[in-house]
Amino acid sequence: MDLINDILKGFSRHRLWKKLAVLELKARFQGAFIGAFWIVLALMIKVGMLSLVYSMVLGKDFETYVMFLAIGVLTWNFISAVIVTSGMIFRKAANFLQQMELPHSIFVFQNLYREIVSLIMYQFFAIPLVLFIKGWDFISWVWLWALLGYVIIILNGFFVSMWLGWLSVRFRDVQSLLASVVMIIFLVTPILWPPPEQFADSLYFVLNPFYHMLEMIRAPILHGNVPHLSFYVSTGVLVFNFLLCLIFYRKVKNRLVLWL
Amino acid sequence: MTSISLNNITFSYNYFPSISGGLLRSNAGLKTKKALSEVSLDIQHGDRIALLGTNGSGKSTLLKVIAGIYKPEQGEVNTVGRIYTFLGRNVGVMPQLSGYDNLQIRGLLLNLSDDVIAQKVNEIAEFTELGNAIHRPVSTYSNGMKARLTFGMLMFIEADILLIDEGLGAGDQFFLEKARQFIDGLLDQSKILIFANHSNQLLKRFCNKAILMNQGKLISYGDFDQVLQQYNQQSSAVLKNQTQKIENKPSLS
Repeated sequence: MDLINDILKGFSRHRLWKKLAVLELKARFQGAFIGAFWIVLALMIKVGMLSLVYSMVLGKDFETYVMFLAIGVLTWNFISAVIVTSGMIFRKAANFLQQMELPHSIFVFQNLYREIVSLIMYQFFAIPLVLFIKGWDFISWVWLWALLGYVIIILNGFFVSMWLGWLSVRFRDVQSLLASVVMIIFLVTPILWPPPEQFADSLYFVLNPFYHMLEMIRAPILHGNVPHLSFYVSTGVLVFNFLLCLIFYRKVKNRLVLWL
Repeated sequence: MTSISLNNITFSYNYFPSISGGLLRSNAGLKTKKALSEVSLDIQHGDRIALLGTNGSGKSTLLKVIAGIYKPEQGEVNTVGRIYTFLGRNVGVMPQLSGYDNLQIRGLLLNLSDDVIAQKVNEIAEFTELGNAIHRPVSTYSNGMKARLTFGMLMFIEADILLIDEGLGAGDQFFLEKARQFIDGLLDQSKILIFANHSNQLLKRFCNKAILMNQGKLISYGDFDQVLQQYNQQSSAVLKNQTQKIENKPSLS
């Protein structure tokens, strides 16, 4: 199991990828007055503006809608950031990979860790928002399912960025494709709008894995129920992504350096 | 016991000639260039080897294969001992980060413990005399300071096998002398050094053996002075050939 070996070796170098990720975050906000707080502020502005306009357009109750939107958008932010940045994972590391033999997974961990830091910071906005609107009584044990949902999303993110990273080093087209594909997914997935009731079972939603990923988080927190189907689908997607990496690792392992 | 053994190594690069895209085939026009062909080598501990050869003769590729960065398509590489590589001028220095951060990352890349890194970084900061500049972004450094930092990165050595490709230039006279003394002290008998450089003076100082490469083939391997002589003869022969060609051309009149 070369892939597993790579992942274990990569994980054991956690001091390296944590350091790289933190430096990357610092560099991004270097010289900014409020620094890394921009991560949260940008989300707040986005959710604030969107919910003002869309609660009016869609004719929704503002309080319910703002919670729906906040949780959906922050989860989507994580997913889309992981996908879009995965194209650069190995290219950024070209200098290192051409200098010494290193496990590929180090750089996948680096990318994922950086986005997880953002994801955690988002929660400093989302959780108080929900508590502010609904009060303390709203907290329930069902929320733990949402936590499990995040774990599944993060694991998916790991394997997706690994194979997307390889793919975009091999085929230069992929990087340009990613941003536009992610935008389309954003528009066809119920993020800004809840699926209308008469279409709730539409195949457009049921067959969209991103919808299920979002539901794993939204359903437990907003409605207190566990969307079993969404958990099955997301786990299935995880297995698929894992197998993809497993199959391609052998082919890519020795050649990645040459493609860089 | 440190050693390197290469057995019948062949390695080639695939590349696209100039710009070739949009042909709706991902590997349209893909060409292959053999960089190493059937190279066999046995290197024992205490060997300090100079890699000689013209540009494009396969010196860097050989170093990368030994380091395990490139996997040969044929043959076997066996190395005993920890390898340290120093290939090319950009040793992964990230210009937006401070010299200090760059050194730390270098230490982490080599998987050293936090204590060792902290200790080494202090030593290096002192040795390179970068002073407070060590906390400034590398993009604000002068060329000489960059060269010092680059050399500082070399000082992390915790290895038995040293692979150095070019890279040891620049820096002012005083620093260069200091750097040479450092390397002298470093290369005790227990280590292997393979050093590719075009400065014969530098090579003579550090090496006792030499390898001559030409077009991906190993031409000779042995005593430094003999191989160097052979290399000089080869290149002077090539030169003579070229000057003759130029002289034989009819003049434009």
